[in-house]
Amino acid sequence: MILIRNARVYDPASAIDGEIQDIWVNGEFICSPPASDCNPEVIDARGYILAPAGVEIHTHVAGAALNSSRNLFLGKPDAMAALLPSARESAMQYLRLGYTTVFDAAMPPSLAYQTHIDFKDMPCLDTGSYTLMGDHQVLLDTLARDDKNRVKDVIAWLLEASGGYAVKLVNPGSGYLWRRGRKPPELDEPLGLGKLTQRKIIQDVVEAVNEMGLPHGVHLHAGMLGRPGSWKSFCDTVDALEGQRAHLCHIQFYCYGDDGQGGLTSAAEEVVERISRYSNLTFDVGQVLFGSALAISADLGALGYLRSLIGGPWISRSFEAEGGTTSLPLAYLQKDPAAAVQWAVGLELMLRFPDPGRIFLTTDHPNGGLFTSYPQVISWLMNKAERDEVLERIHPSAQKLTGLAGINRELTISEIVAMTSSGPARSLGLQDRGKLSPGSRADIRCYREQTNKTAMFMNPCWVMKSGRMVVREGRIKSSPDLRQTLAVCPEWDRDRKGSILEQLSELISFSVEQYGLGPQRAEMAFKEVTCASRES
Amino acid sequence: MPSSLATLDVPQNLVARLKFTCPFCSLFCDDLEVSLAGIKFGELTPSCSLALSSLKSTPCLKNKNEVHGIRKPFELARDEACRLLEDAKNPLVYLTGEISCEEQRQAVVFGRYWNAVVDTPGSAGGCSLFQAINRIGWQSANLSDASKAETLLAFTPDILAKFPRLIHPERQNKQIFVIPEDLPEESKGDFPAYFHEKRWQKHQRKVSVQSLFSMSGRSNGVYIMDHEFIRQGEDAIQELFSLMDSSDVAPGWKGMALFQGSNAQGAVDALQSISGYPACVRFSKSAAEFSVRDYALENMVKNSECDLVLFMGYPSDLPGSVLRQLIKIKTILFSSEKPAWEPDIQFPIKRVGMDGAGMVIRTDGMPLHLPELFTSDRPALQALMKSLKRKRGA
Repeated sequence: MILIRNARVYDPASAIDGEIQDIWVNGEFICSPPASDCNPEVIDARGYILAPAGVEIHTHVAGAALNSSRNLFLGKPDAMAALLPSARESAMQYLRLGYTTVFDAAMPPSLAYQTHIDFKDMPCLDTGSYTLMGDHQVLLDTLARDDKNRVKDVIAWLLEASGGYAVKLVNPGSGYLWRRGRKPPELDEPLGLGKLTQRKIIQDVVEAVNEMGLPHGVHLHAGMLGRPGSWKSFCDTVDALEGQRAHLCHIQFYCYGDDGQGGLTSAAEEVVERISRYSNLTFDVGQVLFGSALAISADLGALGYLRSLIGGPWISRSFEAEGGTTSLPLAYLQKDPAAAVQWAVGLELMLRFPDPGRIFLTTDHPNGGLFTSYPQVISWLMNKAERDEVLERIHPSAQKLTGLAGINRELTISEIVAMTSSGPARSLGLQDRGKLSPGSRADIRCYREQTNKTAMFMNPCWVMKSGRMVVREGRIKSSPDLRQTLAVCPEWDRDRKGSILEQLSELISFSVEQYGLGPQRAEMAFKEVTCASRES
Repeated sequence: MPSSLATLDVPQNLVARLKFTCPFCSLFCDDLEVSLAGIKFGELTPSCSLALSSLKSTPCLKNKNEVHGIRKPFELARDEACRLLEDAKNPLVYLTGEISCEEQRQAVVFGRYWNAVVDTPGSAGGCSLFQAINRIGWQSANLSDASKAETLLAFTPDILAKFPRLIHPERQNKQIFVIPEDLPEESKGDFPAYFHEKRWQKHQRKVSVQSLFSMSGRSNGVYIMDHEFIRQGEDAIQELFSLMDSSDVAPGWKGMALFQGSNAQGAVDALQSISGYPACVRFSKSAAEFSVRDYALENMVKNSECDLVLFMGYPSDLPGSVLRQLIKIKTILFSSEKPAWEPDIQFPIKRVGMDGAGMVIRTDGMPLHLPELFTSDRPALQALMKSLKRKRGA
């Protein structure tokens, strides 16, 4: 039993906003104060801030796409160490920032093994991944036939085969067209598979996932990523969801107007107005930081477009029966008008959106910048003077073409905790974390109160994972491996597996028994997060 | 640690037919069947010359620990290996492709434990090849693309010998062009001009010879590049790639690298995942350093910059020039293959897909699980590494 005494507690899930409280921990979980006397280990937290540990909802730190991207940096070890640290090093960095749960944002089902083997190298971190499905030929064919029950079975099979946690759609249908040398689809453009359009893929899959009761709604990467004027298309996609539960990722990259000359302006205000209408949606931002970055995505068309603009080496891989992944090194420069607008738009979104429990801080690492920069972004969100100072020194387009300079709001610690912990946990359907109430997993971060918020959030005094101290003053403490891989196991009609595999066998060049994790799946331990349909 | 003869499950007088995923090249074909009688492999269907010859040599593989070519009990060989490791100032761990991904990852961790340099065949060829492909910006093809392509353009002299089943007999309509690795001298000065003059056609070792013009307009084609090819002259290859990418010779084609040494891609992956870098890592107590040139096996051995090589896998794919260098240096070989030089110590180990099971990465990046084909009491590489670490701890 551990007693953390006299801490200033920020627990937005329980509407606790900086009250001095004691927190009791019994084993892996937070508990109520014991009824009878006990002899707990006491941690004096007077003068310290306590919050639930961070929950990362969208990052790229594991899997085959990272390994192939590393080939782009042969001979540039410093850049590689910053952008693509090993799985183990990424885990250490997350733990040192106070994060104990991390979701990798894109796992091709056929290459799921590499993602899970990397997770095994991430000690003390709970991990999970979203299975890419938006260009999977079996799913597209099933959607084209309009067989809704089979759609659910195909989704469940793909999740099971890959050990996935949620369904990821990346500009769905674009990979299918890309492989055929065609540009990414408009929302209502026929793909060439019956009447199938991107709108129908999104609507049918979202409906299926919600009926299946998966803990996290569809994790949707919309079309027109990074294009001038993308905000209209993005809002059309948001409307197409018709109020159903879903998560839209790195939305900063869609909040652009067009300056008339192909340049970017901010459309954050318009987008916030639109997305605020839908209470079932959550979002992460994809904040841009100045410096080197790596675009890494399954959106083959978007990165193909980006490469046509900036050139340079890139990787573009297609997978059997699926879409593919691309990687393209790039840099966001302070004096570049587009990068300056992008930096401002991300902050604008987080400051304009009224509910920090539904919009989450991410950099879409390493697409917008490094996750290790979160403390700096938090400081900008909490301090107008600091962001004004940046606005003064970067390209003036950030002042002229965005509304950031006119925003006075400064987020509170409670709001920061909501957008880095309780909000993502709720969106992910993780009922055991993101809060400090009794029964919650004892994943806790503790900060020394400081006026310099970058320094404060960069250096938690300690981090607790499942009731064990795993970081103290920046040093990782050796402890038994507390790691779990979170996955779902939805119910489905297994009698259909034979026909699904028969369909798959026409599309791949190896045995269907090998697909996804193949025979390895039986040897992998997953922590199953229950689906609502199974609970009922 | 047992070290007796490998044993196969089937008695001499019985013949069994076994489903077989072939571990002998980086295609890992999984549609094979092999007959087995006692310790001898017989008929293979569909036929593959490479797999058949490799299977037939399997019973001849080593299964006893040796110190300076003399059979020794395991404990003695292990103690001698530990002594060499303790004495080594600059050990180098070299991973080839005949071991599983799990073993390769453990081997990188093992290298980190001993503050060694870790290198793989990828640093010499595969990584450079990827770099060349990436610089140009081709889409990479997978094996399914290659098998469905109307046209293959193979930059390798021995495609049929090295990857016999890449070109299936049933794919009669496919047009296949082969460009040899020994590009003629006159091509190296001005490769685009050379290419435009179509003189390269003289060097086709054809399966079905076509003119350059027949490729024009075909959008369904795949370039296949053996990683040995790029060693012949990166500049010329880069120019060729650029030309093809920018011209209308073959618009929309995809590129596919062919790794040699079956699971060499897995070795690169292991290094990337564990160290964050694809090739040639020097681990030390404080940090890991990276340098393709400085920490490559070939350079380190040639310049006497390492004093012990731990070779894990089958050395037969290494160029002769490297093998000759290995004579000059202390070596511990973890392999059942009879090497071309005499290592100080040799531990026979299980081979993935034969007497060992495990994951491998196909040449196009696809992870596959290879089951065990027969049982033997050769130790797994992981068990050996664990034993060496335990002995040091003791």
